[in-house]
Formats: sequence, C-alpha cells, structure tokens
Amino acid sequence: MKRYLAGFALTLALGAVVFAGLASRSMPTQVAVAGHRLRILVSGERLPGSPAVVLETFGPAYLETWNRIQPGIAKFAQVVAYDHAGYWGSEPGPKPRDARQIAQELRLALQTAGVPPPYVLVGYSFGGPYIRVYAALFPEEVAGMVFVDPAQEEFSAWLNRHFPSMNVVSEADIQRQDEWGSQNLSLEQAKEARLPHVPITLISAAEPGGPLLRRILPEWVGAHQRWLAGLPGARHIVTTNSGHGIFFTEPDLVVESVRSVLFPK
Amino acid sequence: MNLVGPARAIGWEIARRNRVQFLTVVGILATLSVASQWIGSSHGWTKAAEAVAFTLLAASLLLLFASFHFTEGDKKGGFGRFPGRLLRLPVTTGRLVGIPMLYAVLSVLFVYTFGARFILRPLGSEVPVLWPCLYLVFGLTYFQMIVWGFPERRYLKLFGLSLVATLILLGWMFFLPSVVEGTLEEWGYRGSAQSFMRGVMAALGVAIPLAYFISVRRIAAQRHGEAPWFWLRKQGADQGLLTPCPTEGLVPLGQPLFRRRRAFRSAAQALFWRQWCESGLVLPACVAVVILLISIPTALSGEVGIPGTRATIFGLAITPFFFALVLGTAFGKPSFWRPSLHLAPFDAIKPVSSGAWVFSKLKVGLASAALTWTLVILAAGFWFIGCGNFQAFEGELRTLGFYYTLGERVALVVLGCLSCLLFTWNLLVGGLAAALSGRKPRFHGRGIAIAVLLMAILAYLISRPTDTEGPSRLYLFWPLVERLPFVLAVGALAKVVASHVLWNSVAQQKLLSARSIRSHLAFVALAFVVPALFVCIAFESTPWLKYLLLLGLLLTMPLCGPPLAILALEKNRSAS
Repeated sequence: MKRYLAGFALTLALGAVVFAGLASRSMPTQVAVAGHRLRILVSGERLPGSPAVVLETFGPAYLETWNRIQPGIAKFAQVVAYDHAGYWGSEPGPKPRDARQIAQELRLALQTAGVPPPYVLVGYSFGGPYIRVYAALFPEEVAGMVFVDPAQEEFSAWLNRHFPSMNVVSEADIQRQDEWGSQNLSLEQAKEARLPHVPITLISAAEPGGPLLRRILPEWVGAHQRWLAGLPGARHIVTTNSGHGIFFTEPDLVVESVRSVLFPK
Repeated sequence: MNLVGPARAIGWEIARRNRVQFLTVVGILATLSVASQWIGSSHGWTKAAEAVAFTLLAASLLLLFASFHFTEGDKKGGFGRFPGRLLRLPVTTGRLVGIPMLYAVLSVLFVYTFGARFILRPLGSEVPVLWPCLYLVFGLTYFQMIVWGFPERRYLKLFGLSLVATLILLGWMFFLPSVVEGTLEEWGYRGSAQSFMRGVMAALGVAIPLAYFISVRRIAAQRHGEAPWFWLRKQGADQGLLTPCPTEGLVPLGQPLFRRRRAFRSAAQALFWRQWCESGLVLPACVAVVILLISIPTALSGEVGIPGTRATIFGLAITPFFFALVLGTAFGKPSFWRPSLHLAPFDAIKPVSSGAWVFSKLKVGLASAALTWTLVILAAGFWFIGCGNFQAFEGELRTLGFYYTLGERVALVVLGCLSCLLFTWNLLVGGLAAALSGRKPRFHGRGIAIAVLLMAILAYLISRPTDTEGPSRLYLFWPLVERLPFVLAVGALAKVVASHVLWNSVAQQKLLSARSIRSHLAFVALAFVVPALFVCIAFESTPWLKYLLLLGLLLTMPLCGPPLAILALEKNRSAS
C-alpha cells in the first residue's frame, strides 16, 4: 500500500512540475516600451542569418488569435506576436493610435524582447497598413512581407462611397484617437508608404457568400491586384476556400506563404 | 435579570442567541455610514464603495433573516422548530408568534431604511423605500411561517423555502417599469406599469398578515396537539408534537419510493441508503424548484427573445453550482437536518468504519450531483426546443464550428457536462472534513469563507467597468498571471505531499480497506482525466492557459479532503 501511495504521489508531483514548466515556457511576457508595457509572445528558434517573423493585426485581436499560425511558423523560424497597447495584456499607450505610433512601439518592443532585425512582417486585415508603414519607416529592417487579406485604402474609399453605413468612423471615434478612430489617418500613412524591394506575398480570401459579399468581393480582390501591380515580383494568391477568417480555416496556407518568403528559392 | 412581560422575555431570548450577528450588523451599518459620508458622491472610489455598500447591506439583511428564524432542535431528534419551551409561556398564541415576527420586521425595516438614507444616499444612489420594505417584510414573514409552521415536513419546508427564495430573488424585477412594460405586454397586460406595481404592493400588503395568521394557526396546532385533516399520520400525542421519521416529510405518493423492498447486501449499502434518504434529494429538489420557477413562466409567455433565452439557459446552468456551494456546508454534517455538529451516541458507536461512512457521503454526493445535472440538461433541452430562440447562441456555435471539428465538438459537450458534474460534486462534499470534525470554528470558518467569496463576486459584478477602453484590463493582472505556474505548482506539490501523508495515516490506522483506497484514488485519477481531456481540446490553441488549467485541476482533485474527513470523524467518534 505504501508503494502504491508513493507511486501515485510521485506521478502527480511529476505532472505538476511538467505542467508548470510547459505553462511558463509558452506564457507571453510583458516588455517595457517607452513608458508602458506590451504583452508579447516569442516562440521558435532563429536560424543563423535568418529573419524573425513578426505577426501584426488590428488592435482588438489578442495575440492568441495567431494560435493556429504561430506554432506552425515556430517550427522553422523565430516568430513574435503581441497585443497592441490598450488591449488585453498591454497597457494603454500614447495617442493617436495611428500606424506610425504602432510601428514605432512594435520596433521598441522587438528590441526590448531581444529580437533583432531583419524581420519578415505578416499583416492580417488592418495589420496590412501597419506593416506597410513599418517597412517605410525602417526599410533596412524588413526582409520580406506577407499580407493576409489586408485592408486597402482604395477599397476603403470605395466602401465609403457605395455602403456609407458600413465601417462608420464618427467624429466621436476620431476624437477618441484609438485605433478605430485613427484608421483613416493610418490608411493615409500607408498610402504614402514606399516599400523596400523585398519578397512580397499577398493572400486574398475570396470565399463566395451572400448578395453583399458578391458585390464586395470583386472590388476587394481587385484592389489587392491593382496595388500589387505596382510592386514588381510580388506574388498574389487568391483562395476561394476561406473568408476573412482565413487563418482559422486555412492556417497552412498562411504558414507556407511565410515559409516561401523566408526561404525564397 | 428580572424580565417583565413576554415581549421583553422573547426579545432577550432572541438577543442572547444572536448577539454576535446583531453586533456584526450594527458594526457594518456604522462603518458604512461613516465611510459613505467621507467618500461622498463624487470621489474616485464612489462606484466601488457603492458596490461594497450594496453587498454588505444585502449580507446584513440575510444575516437578520438567519437570526430571526428563531428555531431550536428537538430532544427527540427532530428538526428546527419554534422553541418548544416557549409554547408553555402564559401568553396567547397570537402574541407568542407576533412578538418575534414584529421584532424581525422592525429590524429588517430599520436596516433597509438606514442603509437607504445614511449609506446609499450620501454616495449619490437613491433607492426606493416603499416597495422594497413591503417586499422584505413579505419574504421575512413567509420565511418564518415556513420554518415554524412545518417543523417535521422536511421536504415540504425545503420546497417552500426554495419557492420563497426564488420568488424573492426574481420577483423584485416586476417592480422595474422596463420589465413590467416589456414582459407583461407580451403576456397581454394592457394597463400601466404604475397600476401593476400598485396592485403587486396591495397583494403583498394582504399576503403579509396572511403569513401571520397561518403561523398562529400552525403554532396553535403544535401547542394544543391538534392534528389537521391533511397530516399523513400522527404518532403519539405528546404535547401535540409529532415524532419525526426520515420519510415523513414526503407526500403520500412519494413514500412508496423510499420504502425499502429488499434486504441490504452489506453495511455499506445500508449506510448509503440511509444517507441517500436523508440528504440525497435535497440538491435535486432545490434545483427542480428553480427550474420550474424559471421555465414555466417563460414557457407560458410564448417565444422568448435572444436575451431571455440566454439568461434562462445561463440561469439553469448556474443553479446547481450555487446550491451545491450553499448546501455543501450542511451536507458534511453528521446529520443534514440537525443544526448540531455533535455525533449522536448511536452514530459514534455504530459498527461501521469512519472510512466507510465518509465514502457513503461521497457516493451520495456524486449520485445527488448526477441526478441534478440530468434534471438540468433535460429541462434546459426541452425548454430550449419548446420556447427558446434558436438564434440565441448562433455566434458561439459559429465560433465553435470555426475552431473545432464535429468530433471535437461532441467531445467538448460530453466532457463539459462531466466536468460540471464533478465540479458540483466537489462543491457538495468539499466541507466534509470541517463538518465531521465536530468543531464549530472550522465549520463556521468555511461557511464564512464561502459567504465572503459570494459577496466578493457580487461586488465585482456590480462594480465591474463597462467602458470600452480596451476589451479587458488583463494588463493589470498579467504580472500575477506570469507567476501563476510557479504558485500553482507549489500548491499542487504541497497538496500531493499532504495527501500522501494523510492516506498513509488512514491506511495505517485501518480506517479504510486497501481496496477502497485504491479504488478511490483510481476514481480521483479518472476525475482528473475527464476534465483534463476537455481542457486539452477546448484550449489546444492557447498552450499557456491549457497548462495553467491543468495545474488548477490538480489542485481541485479530491485528494486531501476524504482522508482528512476520515481522520476528523475518527477523532470525533473517539471523543464522543
């Protein structure tokens, strides 16, 4: 009986230690960035001379949004995801929360977390304009870019003309100067951004849907195509298997696109 | 002390028994009134102070309710009843009942009006006075009527108390104009909200004296030995007190359910049967009352909207946890229905090991939790199909469809239900060690800890921020979260070491057979694996949260509780 009890206790103790170790290892941490702290998760090993992958999206999406992508990328590269200032595990930061402010905070966070350049930037949805501004501000630090169904200023203007009740940014939103209120400013900054000559891949999610999507999708994909036409060597992937939640439905496609930019043939 | 008159005698009796509670209430009122005068209505802490004030005022009112139940145990082993000694006082039954009722009503009215005027108003919170006072008096008088009027009818008393408690917790909403206008209009009511509320207040005004008259009638029956025609049976005529019996609280149709038809195979089975008859149906009965009270009115109202559907399903799902947490305090006692923690002489010397006794309680707890969740799942399912809004959970179902395959979703549902069952069981039997030790400080300490936890949750729910500056303030707690793996691991290791020592002690003292210990530990392992599987599937994409929850699961496993309870009971029996 004593041996049975001792074995049972030992198994549980071992389980507790293993769970604690695994939890610590996979736990995001907070890093200091010019007066406030951002929650960041760095995973994977960095190969010598290889860039790190930085995942960027819109503010309200927490870093766990990338949980279907980050482990896949971590198998072949160091990869970083984080919460924007003022959301989830990151303290509020200075305003306005436009693309320039976010790019600068991201750069400081990467330096503090010990992730030096170069980077392959992955921008999902409104993260697309953010990484464009980052690449324009710090072109020497960017080794490649992957856009995952990104927001586009041309499409945004079209939407405002044809569907003015959608995506409304009110005067109160602008006064608040949060990311939603600053989106027009961010899109302007992205429009003016000059990108470095690096490998670029853009994935457009074009899963057919209801009547509204049938009107919007051609313009959405067309805006991507027209923008890429001005970037020689850029690759455009259009998938009809996924909607805007592409990294829940086709995470492997995103991971392979990152791999192809990281290790171009 | 020379007491003049029955009013002063009864008042002294009540004050003597509950002086700690009354001093606590006075202390709370004094502290809150000083604090609210100091904080005022435009301080940075006003909202938090308001939440704390509401919570503590509610706790004070509950404490007064508990103090004025004014019952005693019976020497014949009966249940809480109107103090038998006072039945011999040379006063009319009307005064005998009216005096404690009046003291109770005046105390509750004083606390509420004092709180409204001197605590909440300085904080800028104006609360109505008339209808809440009527409402509180209604609840109090019917509470007293039920506990005094049906001393030997356990389940009837329980049913009545659950009914009154649910009416009190939900009925106040019918004094809100928005609810009256929205809900009653759906039911065909065409009058104004004010006339409806006046009607309800008038009904309360009529119902309150009715509670007094029924109490007088029932106490008179106990006093003078009358046996009204609807009693099931009458045993003895000793002062009109009926001898209690484990099954006497049931209606005639229910009695055959508890009549044993076969001989018991073993002492353990007999023990399980006795425990089941005594307390096994309490949790399912309480939950069944709430199910009826929530689902019948909503079913009668026709199709329910999305918010109503979500609120109903959520209410049904949370009820077993709430009742298990509250009932768990009494579940661990030697006898569920007696207020005393002392072991009866027969219980102390009966030829059953302490381990077998504790295990029978654990099994009854598990069976009780299983029956309860079966009721909840069936009731929620039928209600949802019958009158729920199918779009109520569309968002969640779409998200689940995104993240999980069909097989994973089925596994999540099954494992989620089993996890709820195991957690309810844990809440029900968590207080065994404290209660079976026979020591009041340990027993009451656990009760106080639970009360403080519930109050903290209530205060948080009242005061939580509703602004949209960030979807959460996780950044405030993140440094603590980062330290959690270490803290939880230390806790789990300490628990494992303690359980090893305790189980060894139980085995050495032969308080339980080796086979029983092994089977219990195997069950504990299963009780860990089932929720762990659920956690691994549900949180597969958030590794840090998954491992933290697994550590938390280790901490909630019933490892130390059962051997502690066995050792505490053994010590209690030896001392008895």
